[in-house]
Amino acid sequence: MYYKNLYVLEGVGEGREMDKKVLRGLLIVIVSVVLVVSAVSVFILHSESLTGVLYGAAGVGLFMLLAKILTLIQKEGKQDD
Amino acid sequence: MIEYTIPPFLIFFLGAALIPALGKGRVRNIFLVALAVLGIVSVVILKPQTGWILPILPGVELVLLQADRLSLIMGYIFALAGGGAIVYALSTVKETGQYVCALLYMGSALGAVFAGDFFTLYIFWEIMAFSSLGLIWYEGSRRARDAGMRYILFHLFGGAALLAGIIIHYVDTNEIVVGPVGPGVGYFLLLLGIGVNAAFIPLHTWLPDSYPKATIAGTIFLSIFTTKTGIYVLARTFSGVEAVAYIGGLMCLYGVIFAILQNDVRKLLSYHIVSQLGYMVAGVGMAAVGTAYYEEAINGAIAHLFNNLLFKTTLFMCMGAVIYATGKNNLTELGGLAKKMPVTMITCVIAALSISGVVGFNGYVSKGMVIHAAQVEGLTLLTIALTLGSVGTLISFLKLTYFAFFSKNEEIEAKEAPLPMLVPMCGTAFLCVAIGVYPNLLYALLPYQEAALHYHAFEAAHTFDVLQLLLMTVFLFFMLGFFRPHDTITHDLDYLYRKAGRGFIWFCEKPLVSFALVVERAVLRFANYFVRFGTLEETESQEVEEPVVSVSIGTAVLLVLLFFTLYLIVMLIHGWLA
Repeated sequence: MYYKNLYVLEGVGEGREMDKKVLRGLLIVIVSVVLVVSAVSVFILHSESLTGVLYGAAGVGLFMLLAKILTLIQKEGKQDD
Repeated sequence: MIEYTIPPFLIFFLGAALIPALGKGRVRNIFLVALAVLGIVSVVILKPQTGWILPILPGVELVLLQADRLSLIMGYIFALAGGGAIVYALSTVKETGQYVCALLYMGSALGAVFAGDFFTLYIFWEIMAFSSLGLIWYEGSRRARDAGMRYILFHLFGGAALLAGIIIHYVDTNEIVVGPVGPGVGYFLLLLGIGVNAAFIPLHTWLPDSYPKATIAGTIFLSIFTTKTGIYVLARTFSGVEAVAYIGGLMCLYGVIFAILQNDVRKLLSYHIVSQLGYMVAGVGMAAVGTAYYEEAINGAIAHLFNNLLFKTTLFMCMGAVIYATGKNNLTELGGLAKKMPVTMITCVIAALSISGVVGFNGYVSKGMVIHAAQVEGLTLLTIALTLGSVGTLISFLKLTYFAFFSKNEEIEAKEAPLPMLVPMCGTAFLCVAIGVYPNLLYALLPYQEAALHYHAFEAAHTFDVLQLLLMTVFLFFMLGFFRPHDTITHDLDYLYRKAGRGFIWFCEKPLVSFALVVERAVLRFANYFVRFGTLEETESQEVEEPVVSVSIGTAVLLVLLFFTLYLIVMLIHGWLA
């Protein structure tokens, strides 16, 4: 489950799953709004004042994608000798 | 007034010679600290345009010391970081041999950066390779021995390429001074030789393979000298080669993605060396001689090298302290150390913020210089690669610091590292903050001080951009929870090398040996026929048993490379004397 991966919510009790879901939803909404505003600012208004946000999001997305691809050549173990 | 200038390498070589006579007690420790201080002083008192020439044969001279602003800044940071590593080693290193290797390594690295001619550079280059090997082998395990073998094979290959390149360059130009190289076969061989030390992709695999397997103190020495000497020589010989700049961009991204996937803390840091070297290589590649950007790009590359040595040494020291205190290498086994090792945690966080380029820390200044140089030169693709590299760096250091110090682990037992480990850690961490807050400290040392003073690190738009990028990355890192460490290993290109190596051994042992046997039998039959034909009396043939000497493939390759190197040295001296 998605919310189970939130490091910040580790240790929160089972009875508060609804809170976690709400928090997760809120976070996604905030990120989406920030990204849309940044994209409009950079690509439509041609302002460079929010490029850092797009770079950050693009970078995280890129490394997630690459990490996912590279898991294909990963194997169990502690050290590659 | 008489000026005393002693080549700094001599101090460390003499120290290495004397240390076996000092036993293993307090005297040795005092001597080592004094040597570290003397090493720093010997570099600080050097002045630009100082020289030290040693005639070895009629008409043959070795330029053992040639100081200018570029070599001096290298000398300062090598002496400083190396001195810190010596102090750090006092708690963990007991064997005298390991100190001998470390001092020879440090001395030869200083010798290489102050070398005025290619042949002197080559001599120190090879001493560096062999002395650093000792720091890997002293770990004592089979893994370390095998990794050391692969390490030295790579470096002998690089050394042979370097020497061949030097000879061809010398024969073509009659020039032996360390400087720009003209196109030709020598050019590619030199680039190949330097590329091994500078960890160009795909020649980088020796680095993440061997550094995590060295001794705790050995890894710190290793992280300081070999690769940075490669960058220095690259800056001297290949500045302004655009292809080199793009190799830097590739290194930056390649290193960081593999770093993100690592579980072993020292392996993560080793991949980050490759990534951070990418910024330096890119800076050197952008610095086309004669252009307006040359000075800014070289300044950026060298500033990042200087800063990298501060934060990377701190990070290796912190992780060495964690391994020393817990006996664990993997992030999956660590956690909960923030309260148990508070000083280590604070210095590690400072170094992590520095390498991630957070505003107010030294990495922000030098990374900004390199990226700015790429922007003003209009290298869009490179600018994007280097900026995305910053995102990846922050991700992997959030992962490292969070899972080593802050994640929950109630079972872990540890206590703070001993004082000799903490002192150099705190010193380098302090310098990371000092340069980050007041970059003029660094600008004053850079090869082109005037150009450095024209760069404004804290320009509002740039600062705001970096802050956005960092905040977005931190936010997504914690929100997505994707980058959790796993007990898995990721194959790098060395997997292909090892497969190819095994294939080569199989080819030698099976088809080649079978073919050789067939040829041998045929020749013997043929010879036998002539013997029978030629003799009147039949004599009994005598079987001669030849002693069978077997050596491992690795040793055989090592011997071949050594003989080849020897041959090249003889060729060089022959050409020199002609």
